[in-house]
Amino acid sequence: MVESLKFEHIEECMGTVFVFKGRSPLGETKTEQVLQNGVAILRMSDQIFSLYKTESPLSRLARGEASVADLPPVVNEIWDDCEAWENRTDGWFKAFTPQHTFDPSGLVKTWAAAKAAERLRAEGIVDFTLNAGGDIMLNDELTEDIDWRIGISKPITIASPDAGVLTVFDLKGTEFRAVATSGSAERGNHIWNPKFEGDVQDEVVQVSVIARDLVTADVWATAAFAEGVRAVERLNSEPGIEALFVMRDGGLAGTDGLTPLFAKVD
Amino acid sequence: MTVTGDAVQYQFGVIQLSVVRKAGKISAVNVVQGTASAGRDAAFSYLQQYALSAQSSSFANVSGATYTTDAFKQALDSAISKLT
Repeated sequence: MVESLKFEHIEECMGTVFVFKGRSPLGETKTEQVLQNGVAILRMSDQIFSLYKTESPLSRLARGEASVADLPPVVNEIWDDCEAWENRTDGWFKAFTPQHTFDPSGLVKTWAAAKAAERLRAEGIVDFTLNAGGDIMLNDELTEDIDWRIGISKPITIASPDAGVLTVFDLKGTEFRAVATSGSAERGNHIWNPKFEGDVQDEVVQVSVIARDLVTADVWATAAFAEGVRAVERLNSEPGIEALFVMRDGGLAGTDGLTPLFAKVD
Repeated sequence: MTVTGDAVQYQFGVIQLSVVRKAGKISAVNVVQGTASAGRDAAFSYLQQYALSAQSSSFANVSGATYTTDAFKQALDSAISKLT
């Protein structure tokens, strides 16, 4: 049996930080190569979809200099995905700004992370977790119990001295492989009201969604945070989704199947 | 050792918890009394469960709102400064 190599790779990209952490059956050199191949996918996605880079395909699209048909096919793919998610969430996830600019940044980070994870898997690294700026993805093959346990941040920025963990979920032996969190702790109210009518909800300060895959968790966390506490009922009727809502006054609410997912004390 | 807390008013009603400690760790949280408005009973089990699980420091990742590169670096610096 090949001895497994422990690795932790931290990568800055898309204005946030990605962490690949786990065990690889490949040697050190090969493991590093595979990680770089995964990272290349993150970088390529950033090059295409960043609205901060003025010459990115998305920026050209936003200025009307190019149409989707002129751009890499992946732009069309993401466009279709965003429309499908907008329908699925009844409009609570929306990749168009009030000015009608296509801004899929709510989806691209976890979409790219999932693609990068697929690349690692295809090249033989399967026993790892991926943290995409606070959204977490697990793989079926995780060999260490600690990797199945995911802390949920308090609804305050990680840069604060009071930062810490509110609670812990343990996904071992469940169908779930991803946790994503949306909230106002890090970037303020960066989620606008996608309905463009009524007020932005301010009762809920953070929503963590537990799902089978990373993009699904991410999109529903965004949508549920925009909708507010009424999203509890909506998520109860979605199969394979659980969620924890943190209210401004510190109260908690959650979906019907959430309780068994809390980590047990040893 | 079992410690019973005061009855406290919270957003869904009144709740009083007792906490069982074993070897410095909370091993159980029980509801002594609780009233809740309709449909919010589940909040009790959240309160119990999250008090229990939050003290366990053994987890590999933390999920939170998407942080910036700067926030990540500040958090890292702060953690490192506590080590030394």
